[in-house]
Amino acid sequence: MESSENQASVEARVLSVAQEVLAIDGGPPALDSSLIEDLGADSLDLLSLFMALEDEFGGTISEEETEGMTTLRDVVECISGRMGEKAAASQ
Amino acid sequence: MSRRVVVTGLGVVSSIGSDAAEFWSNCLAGKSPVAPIPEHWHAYADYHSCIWAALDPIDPARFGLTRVEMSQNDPASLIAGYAARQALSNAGLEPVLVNKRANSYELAGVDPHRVGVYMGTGIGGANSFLDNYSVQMLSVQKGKLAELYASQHEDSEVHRSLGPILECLHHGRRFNPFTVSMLMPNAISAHIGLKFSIKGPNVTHCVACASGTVSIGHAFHAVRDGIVDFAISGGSEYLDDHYGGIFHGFDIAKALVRNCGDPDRANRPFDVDRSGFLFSQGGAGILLLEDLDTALGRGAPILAEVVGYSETFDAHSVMSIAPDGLQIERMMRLALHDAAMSHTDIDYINAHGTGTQANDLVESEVIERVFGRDVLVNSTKSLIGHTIGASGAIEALVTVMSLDAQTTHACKNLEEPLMDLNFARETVSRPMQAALTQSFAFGGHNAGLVLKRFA
Repeated sequence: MESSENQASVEARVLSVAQEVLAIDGGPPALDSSLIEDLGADSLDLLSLFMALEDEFGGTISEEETEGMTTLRDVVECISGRMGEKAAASQ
Repeated sequence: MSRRVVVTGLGVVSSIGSDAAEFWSNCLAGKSPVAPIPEHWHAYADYHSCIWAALDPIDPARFGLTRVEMSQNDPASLIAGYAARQALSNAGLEPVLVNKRANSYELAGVDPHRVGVYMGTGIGGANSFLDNYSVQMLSVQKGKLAELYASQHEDSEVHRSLGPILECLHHGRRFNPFTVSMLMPNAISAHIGLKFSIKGPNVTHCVACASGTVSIGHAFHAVRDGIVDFAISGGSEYLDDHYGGIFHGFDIAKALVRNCGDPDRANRPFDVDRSGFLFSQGGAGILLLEDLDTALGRGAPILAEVVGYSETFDAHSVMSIAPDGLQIERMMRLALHDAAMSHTDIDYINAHGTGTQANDLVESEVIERVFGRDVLVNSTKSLIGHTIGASGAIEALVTVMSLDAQTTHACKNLEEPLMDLNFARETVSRPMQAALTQSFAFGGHNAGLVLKRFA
């Protein structure tokens, strides 16, 4: 239960940051939006997005990690996975 | 082509106000926000001076900035952009949003190719350079020290010693991928050009304390010569870093005010007891210059006319003013010549007036030689301290407002003048038709602007 709540919270925060950084009108973007094709992000927009996500969630997102992300769902899964690892390590 | 050039908009970010009306009102009230330097700077060095004039933190909501802009621009660019926005708005050129993601605007009804940006700065994005250099230098090594600290028993000598050291080794969370475009001095003028989609000349003058004056002077000539119809001109500076190293640089050169025991009276340009300049955290000043016919054609508010500019170089010392003041004198006479004016036409001088022993003496002597003792003289640095690359622009703004209001602010803390000149000892209202504002800079640069009440 706690895990799905965390997942929902991460998802909402990622979508909110993406909406703000990419200046998307009409509410948060869809989770399966492609960063480049659907949201029109260029390489500098992606840098801006990942910097904002680092500020939002702490830590750093490596170049290797960002290369594997094509949709917002990929971003949410990366951050959720990382938060899960962090929670497990602290137990 | 030689056209008349007028000032139609003003913008400012300063320690006594971040809009022109508030700033001017505080100038006339003699406000001077002297405060102790940040306490943690004392962990890194001993200083002769211990006061400064601090800015309010940048408020992204008030400045209209996105989180992306806040994270990818040096504060010197951000405050310049806000000052430019003010100047455009009060000149009646309300920017229109054209790109929400970039948060960029266009000037409705204005050909962007006929607008130029002429900005000055002394140290550009030094704040961003130092912030990111701290990450480069410390992040790995501090991590190793932190591991050692954690491995030691808390009663151990190593643990007790390392704790305070680790606290002092500050660095940001990451090396910003935009570091280069934040630290380059031309980022300030580029930021304004990008923000308002301006496509004419876009240049940065790095002339230390004369940067703002030089930029406005070159903008004046560009409008006068028909290169552009509008010029966003001025200066911006942000002189802060976590470790106080920028402050230390000026302090160790013995340029800063000493008698800090009485902070409110320490900063005293042109007084016999002056001891150096009050260090400012920074600021920005913008004058929107415009071809007179264009301004009249669109019914713009005209605040003053720019009529003359000149610049000279001492070739004497990189750090100190030439004692004979001959190149300052030549600069003044060339500025008068450029304005087709005589020294008797100048009613008011907004002096460089830093409060250092050498500057104020040489400047006073040259003023007396060229203008005599009747011209009214004050120093805006007596209120807000020295904003280096922004100072000339902020002082030009004060000169415009003084001509417009026919009133000058007082030269604060001037109790015993070093010479018998007509210093403004209190807020003075008197008829003023023309004024000179001038700046002298490390390196040996001298620059001056002649402004006239618009009629």
